[in-house]
Amino acid sequence: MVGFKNRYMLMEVFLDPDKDLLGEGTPIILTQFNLSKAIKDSILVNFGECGLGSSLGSFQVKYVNPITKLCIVRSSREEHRQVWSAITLVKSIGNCPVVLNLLDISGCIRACKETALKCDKEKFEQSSKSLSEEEIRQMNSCLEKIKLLEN
Amino acid sequence: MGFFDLSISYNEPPRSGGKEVAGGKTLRLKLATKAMELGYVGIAHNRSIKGVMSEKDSCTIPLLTLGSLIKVAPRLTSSVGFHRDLLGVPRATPFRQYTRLTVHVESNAQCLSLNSGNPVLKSYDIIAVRPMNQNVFDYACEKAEVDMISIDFTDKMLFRLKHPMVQAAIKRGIYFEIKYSDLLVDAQTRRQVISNAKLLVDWTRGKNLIISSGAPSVTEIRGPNDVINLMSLLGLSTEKARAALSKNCRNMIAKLLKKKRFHKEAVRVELLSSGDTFSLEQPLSGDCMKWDPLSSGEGDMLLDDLAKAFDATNAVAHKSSKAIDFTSVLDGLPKHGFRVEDIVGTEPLTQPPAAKVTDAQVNTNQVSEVVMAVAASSDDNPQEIETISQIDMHMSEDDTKVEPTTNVLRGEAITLRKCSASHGQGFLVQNQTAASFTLIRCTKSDAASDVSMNIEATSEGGSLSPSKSDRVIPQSPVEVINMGNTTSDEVSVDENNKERATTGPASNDEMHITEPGDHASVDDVKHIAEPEHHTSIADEMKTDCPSEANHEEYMEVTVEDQKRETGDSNINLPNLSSETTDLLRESGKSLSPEAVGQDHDQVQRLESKETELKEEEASVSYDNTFEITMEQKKVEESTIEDKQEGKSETIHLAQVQSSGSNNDTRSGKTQAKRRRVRPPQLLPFMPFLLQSRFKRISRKRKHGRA
Repeated sequence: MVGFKNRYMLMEVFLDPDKDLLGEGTPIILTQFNLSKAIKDSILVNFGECGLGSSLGSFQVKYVNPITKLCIVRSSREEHRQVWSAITLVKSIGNCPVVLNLLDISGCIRACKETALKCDKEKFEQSSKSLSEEEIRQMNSCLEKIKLLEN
Repeated sequence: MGFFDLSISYNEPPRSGGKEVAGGKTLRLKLATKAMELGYVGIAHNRSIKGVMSEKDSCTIPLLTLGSLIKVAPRLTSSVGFHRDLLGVPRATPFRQYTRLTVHVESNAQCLSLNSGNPVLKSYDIIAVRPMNQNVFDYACEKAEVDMISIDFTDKMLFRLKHPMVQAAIKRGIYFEIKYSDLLVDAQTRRQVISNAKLLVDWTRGKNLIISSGAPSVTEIRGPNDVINLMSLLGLSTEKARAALSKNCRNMIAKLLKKKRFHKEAVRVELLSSGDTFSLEQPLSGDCMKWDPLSSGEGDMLLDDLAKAFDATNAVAHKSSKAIDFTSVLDGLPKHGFRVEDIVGTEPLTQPPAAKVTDAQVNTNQVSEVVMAVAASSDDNPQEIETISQIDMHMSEDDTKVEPTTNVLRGEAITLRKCSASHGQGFLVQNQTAASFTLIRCTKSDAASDVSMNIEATSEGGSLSPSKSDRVIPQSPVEVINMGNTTSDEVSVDENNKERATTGPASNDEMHITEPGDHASVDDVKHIAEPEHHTSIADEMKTDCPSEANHEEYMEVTVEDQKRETGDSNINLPNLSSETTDLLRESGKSLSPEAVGQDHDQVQRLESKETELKEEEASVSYDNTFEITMEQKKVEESTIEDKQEGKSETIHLAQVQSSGSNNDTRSGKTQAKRRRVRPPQLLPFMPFLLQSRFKRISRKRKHGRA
């Protein structure tokens, strides 16, 4: 038995959904840094300093794929609903309006990785027609990265 | 279960210009597309009106078409499929659109326009009211003919949510709406909404609550899972929130569509153009079974169609598919319109099976054909076909064994089984169409309820079976016989009533169908297959009775359990379960004597037919009333059921009386059972026992002290 438990949330980011509905254009580049900043801001606004402090211990954006716009967010089990609510209440990253949508939630990174790989592939196939060489290379590196994820 | 978003804002075009504003249209399209993409299966286009309602406010909302959706988002299909898979919603679920009107009500005069006769309200699917003061809220909760109360939580509340009012609304089946987009606006609004909506959530405890987006733009729409989690901020548990997003919406839509499109919420009213024809030979029933309680009739989009429309590459396929393709069904019908004879002529299931029964008696050779016809008429139930095939098997066995002289007996067997087939269907139909969709269905369920009544009637006869009387009413064997006589009197009286007689055995066998254990049918087979070389009936009875008693005991338990599990709304369950067991037992009994009768006939077949009849009379002569019935039987050849019952009972009686030794053994058994039964009966006396024990203990303690 592990005393401390995490939750891994696989989220999907719709960048600027008002412009194009399936996130084709990329007004900003999604990174771990700007995503985690947006989420932390949201936690601070909605749950205050205490909420942010209690969730910061385990909160981490584990993985971001800028091509398919999937990300994995880790949070402690106790706080994960709070963090999740805060993520739902995120309205923009920088100046770009975003909508975050949960695809899957799981208790261990392995299960989350599998789902993420599956979703990545599916989303990649959806948008593979209009991708350049550079983006495909980036995508492959992301897939490599996801395989190396641990805890 | 699919998720719904029952509030996609629709802005009415300005009165002067006929067209919807281009921006509004694209916004609505985008919202709908986003909702669809996120995995919702239904939306409602919401139009809000303020002030006095007029004719102009009746529904003019154009539902979105597939083509326009495809134009906005070319890769919609795959994305929708992807999200639906993750949510566990079947891909084939159609995407439904409804129209909704939200009336802002401020004065009592406006309240009065919210009645069921208002033609403006009738043109919309969903009617919501937004009360602006206390009076209006109270009226909306208690009297107004609305489906939904939508409260503005973003500002300071204009009225108090009183618990009794909320309860009254819930009792009347009115739903409360919470819009989650209010939560997303800014911190100030969020604070207000949470504090106000929490009260509503507390009062309703998640019951009759509906969560919708009410999104002013695409960025305010969230996925179903996120919304469910977000509701935890309002103190709504995950299950309740999920129900509020899916089940409650579904229930409400089904209810209001039923109210809107059905006559008295039971009979579907459909417009048929004069060119279209209507016949019952064609599978109308199948069409009815396919009836979708959630479909508003138009504006439903299937994902397959979406894919097809996209594959057509033109991307401009203006075609809205319906959930039910009525035209394809109606195309293949004959051209002579709707006639009453059609119903009368081709309504094999609603008519009492007596007519068919006589046929079967007249020419037993065609029996298999008739059975086949029954099978054909009951195509929609695979289970039933199974039973019928079983019946065929039985019959074939009969054919091998029984000589032509025993035509009557065969006829009996057939009628019994045929009844079982037809009435079995009646019952199944009753189960399936609890909300009886059409006229035909209604009549069928009526028939079924008749049957259930008859079951009650015949269950009195069910007490004939000795094993039951042994178990439940511990009596001496003599008393058992007496009881048998009295009940048989009843039955003989009843036999005049043909229907009862038919439905009696029918319902017996129907129970065979419903209970999967099928012990009784196994018994049948056994008895029929029994070799001829039984010298006397009594012998056979001796061999049979104990084993069967055991069987039925076992059966009673299992069947009772099953009956209780499969909750049937129309039938009084506890009663029925006990009755069914009785009937089952009776059926087991009544069938076995019949088989015995067959053997018996075979034994006697060397002699002439008359002697056989005499023999029967002799067996009857134990009871005076049964002589009458037997005579009746001879006179009326048409009522086979009478005979069947009569014969089974006579043989039954013969069994009871002739096998005295058998009775002895049985009484021994009864005692054993009584012993088994006693402990629960003694339970009420336990307090006394406890008292005495307590005394004893106290005495012991005294001793100890001494």
